[in-house]
Amino acid sequence: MINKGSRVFGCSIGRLIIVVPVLLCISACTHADEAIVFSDVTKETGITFIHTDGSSGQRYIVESVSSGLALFDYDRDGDIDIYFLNGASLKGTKYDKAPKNELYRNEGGWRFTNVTDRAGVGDTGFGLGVAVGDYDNDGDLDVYVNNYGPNVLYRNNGDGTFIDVTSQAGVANGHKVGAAAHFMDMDKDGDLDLFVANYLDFTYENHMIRTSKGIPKYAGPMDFPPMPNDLYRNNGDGTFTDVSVESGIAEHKGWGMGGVCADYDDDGDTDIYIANDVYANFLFENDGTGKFDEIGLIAGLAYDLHGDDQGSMGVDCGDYDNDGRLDFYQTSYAEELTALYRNLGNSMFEDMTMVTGAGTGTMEYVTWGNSLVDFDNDGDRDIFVACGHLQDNIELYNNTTTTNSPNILLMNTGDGKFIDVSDQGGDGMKVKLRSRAAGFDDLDNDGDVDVVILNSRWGPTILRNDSPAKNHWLQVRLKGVKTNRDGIGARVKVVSGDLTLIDEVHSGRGYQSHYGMRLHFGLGDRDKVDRIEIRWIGGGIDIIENIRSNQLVTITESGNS
Amino acid sequence: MTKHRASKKSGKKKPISRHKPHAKPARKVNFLLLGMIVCVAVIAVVITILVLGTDNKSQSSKQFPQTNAASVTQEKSDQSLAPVEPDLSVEEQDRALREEQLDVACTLLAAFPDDANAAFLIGMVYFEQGNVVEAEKYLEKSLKLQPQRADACDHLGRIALLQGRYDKALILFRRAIEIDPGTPGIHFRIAKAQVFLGKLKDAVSELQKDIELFPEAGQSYSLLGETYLQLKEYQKAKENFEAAIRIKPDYTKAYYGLATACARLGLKDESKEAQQKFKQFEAEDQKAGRHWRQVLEPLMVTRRSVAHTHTDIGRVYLERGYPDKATQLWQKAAILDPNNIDCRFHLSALYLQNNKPLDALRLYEQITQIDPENAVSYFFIGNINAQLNRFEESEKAYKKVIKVAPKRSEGYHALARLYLQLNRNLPEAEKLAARAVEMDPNNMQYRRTQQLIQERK
Repeated sequence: MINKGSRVFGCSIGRLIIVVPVLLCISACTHADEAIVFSDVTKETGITFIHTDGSSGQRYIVESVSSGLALFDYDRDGDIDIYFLNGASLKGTKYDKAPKNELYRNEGGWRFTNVTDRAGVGDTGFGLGVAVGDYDNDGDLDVYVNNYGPNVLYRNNGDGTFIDVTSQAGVANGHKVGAAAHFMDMDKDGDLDLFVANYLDFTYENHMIRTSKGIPKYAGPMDFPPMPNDLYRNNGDGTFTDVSVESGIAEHKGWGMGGVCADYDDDGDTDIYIANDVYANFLFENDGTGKFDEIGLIAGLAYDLHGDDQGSMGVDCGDYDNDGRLDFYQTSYAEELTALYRNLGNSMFEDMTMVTGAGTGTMEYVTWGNSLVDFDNDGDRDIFVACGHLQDNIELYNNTTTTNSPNILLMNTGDGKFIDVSDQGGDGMKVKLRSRAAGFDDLDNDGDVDVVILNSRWGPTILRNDSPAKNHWLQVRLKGVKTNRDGIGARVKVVSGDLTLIDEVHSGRGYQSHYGMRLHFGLGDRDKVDRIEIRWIGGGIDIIENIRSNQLVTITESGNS
Repeated sequence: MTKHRASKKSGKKKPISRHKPHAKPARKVNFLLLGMIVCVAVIAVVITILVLGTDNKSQSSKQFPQTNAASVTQEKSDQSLAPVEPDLSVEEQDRALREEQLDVACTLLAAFPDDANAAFLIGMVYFEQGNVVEAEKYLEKSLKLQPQRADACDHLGRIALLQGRYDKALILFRRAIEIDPGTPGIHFRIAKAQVFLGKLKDAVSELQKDIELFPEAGQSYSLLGETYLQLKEYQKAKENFEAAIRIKPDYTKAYYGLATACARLGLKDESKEAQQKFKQFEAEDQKAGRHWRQVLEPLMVTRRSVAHTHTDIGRVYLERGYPDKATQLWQKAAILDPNNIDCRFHLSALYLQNNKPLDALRLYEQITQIDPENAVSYFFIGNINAQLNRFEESEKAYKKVIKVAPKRSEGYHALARLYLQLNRNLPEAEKLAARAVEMDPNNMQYRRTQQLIQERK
């Protein structure tokens, strides 16, 4: 029985009975508003791609690391299409029909059509990494596929078809085990050059299998010799010249995996960050002319806080703390945390993983595709991590982890911290597979970023972002005129009231993948953008003012410097 | 702060630790380690004497309960690595050994379902085999049977840490330290969990405690440096990395931390110098790592692990009054791992109890081949030879004890006593006894020997 005269903290209990449920309701509603929710819509997309890694029980190391994917608008119809890389037959495997890469055209309404054959991009090589860029500046996006074996450059004909121009362009890159690939304008001459990362020197002759407790497992990267990466300069006539040696890139051998090309020091040229597997990561600093110094150790990106060389997998960059500098987020092997490197602005980085909680939940899993993306449009970048063990039988000798793993979603709380919201992330976060690449873009043009995940030996996962749409946003697409046609390497600053956001256009990022050429900015409750500033790579600066939010704006380079 | 490290005496069965250092050939004497080895050996002998002596089990052991005991092979004196089952492939042998390891542990627990040590050991077997689900189950069982088990809490904490469950790890480590403040490395692991949880100031305090207890703990200085880096207290970070390097001049990761701290402090030259050192040691580590991968034999790792399990399980059998069973397991352990010192010590003690001094002597000699600096073995070699009237060998062995462990009193006293027994070299004997007394003034036996020598003169 309630005594109406009773008071708790100066409030009558009778009043509390009314107030408490209201407060609880408000709290619940607030929580729901802040949620990031992904729905698994794979089945409704009509995508039938099944990844193949060429495995036959021989456990060739290349099987374990495939493959990447690309999200880009190949037909310039305004929506983002999906290109999945695939493995291929290896010694000991035979398929009735050769596995090939597959391109899916976005028809809108979450329906996709397999247009691989029509588009002519069904490469049957062993696909590992991919980059997209308009290397010939003809207004459409071309595709470079980094294989185990000869690589492929597909030139976009502009009519929904592609042509293999690898030989003419001179970018087959021998017969190597590829990794990430990136288009970038290294010398600011207006055309896109090509960086090709290599994993290691694997051949059938030096193949080996390791065992643990009598159970066979894939060998590790250090069981094979390292490889230098390759750099090709665009000659401007459809051909490329190998400048790996003179650029300084070939001096450094490593075990390259994912990478991202970004102007980390904001000096107006594009630098290159390559994550190495169980080896110091490379940060190639560009002197502005296409000559590079490797400064990973000095910059504090080569090793994690403990001085450990991680089993680095994928890497992406973004300004997680909105201080105007690009930070890096990198995935890693199991029993390691992922790593968040905060850009200190003096060409140095600090490992903020533990302080920020950016590695929460990652210790158990092998982590691959990732990105710093503002999924809830609240003005700060969250983190998505694709997980799945490299060993397909890990439970037989180590059940601290699992072969099939859930992915991880970390929400940025806006105060420099991340919290693990995977469990509250909707049915899309309940999928447990052997994920590898992940791509992030707005597939349904509804103003939030969706996710595509490539799963090893399985179909992909397509996640629709169903987070409450209470916040405002802006998407920016760049059109270069004097500089490369998609503004790859350009830096964009968006100012909206008290919020200043930055981003860059990247070709090739995350785990050997490509995505996000339309830059996406969450604005929170700000309904207009005061100013957009674009610094074109090798070009001038354009400024646009007073732009309404919740739209995609296409900004064409003015040519004014 | 007290430096007390001993376990709280609960009056219960002594928990079996799985973390004894594995001997390496030609190892330099580490006195702390030597002390530990002496203690282990003495404890083993004392346990043997107590168990066997009081129950007279040296004459006839109990009949073992019906279980699926693993087959046991006679321990061989040669140290060749003969395959356990030569017809099997390496992988099959590996799997068979892992099965045997588990089988032996399960058999023990089936025989003594209420034995906390048995539950702990099966938990450790699962842990070593990578099955943390089962490991947790049995470690928790051992904790239930014996709630004051710091080692079980510690290992459960380690599993939680491995799985990224830092809150749980912290609770378990806290419980372990509460039970036994001397649990090796526990402050460090608490600090590690705290760092993962972002409780940096708590971690600093924990590491400072660890450093106070163990001033030579280089890894604690290094982690403290890392913690200060995250707290942006760069000068303190620098000082701690420097301390770690003073303790271990080739501490690769401490140089990385030092380079980072110096860079943050704007000390460019110092940072560059530390980076150079880091690069140099990192390259050496990489080279060593590559070499290790080339020579690594997974089967050898398994054999060592199984031998370790057999050794520990043998101790439980002995405590339970089954010396034959213990003997079988230790013999098998000796075959599986030619470098396993523990099983050889245990076997030797049993052989001595069963009046088989020559067998014991052979094993002690094996131990000195494995670890030529092992003073305890030389000591026992001296004792056995003296019992067998092989005085020259005895003298030689005691001299070796003094050589490899000049700061221990036992060698001086044993040699003095030998000379007294032989009634020769009495002036030398007097000096030796005096030295022993000087090193351990409270030892009445030493004083008695000294007195007898003086009387004899």
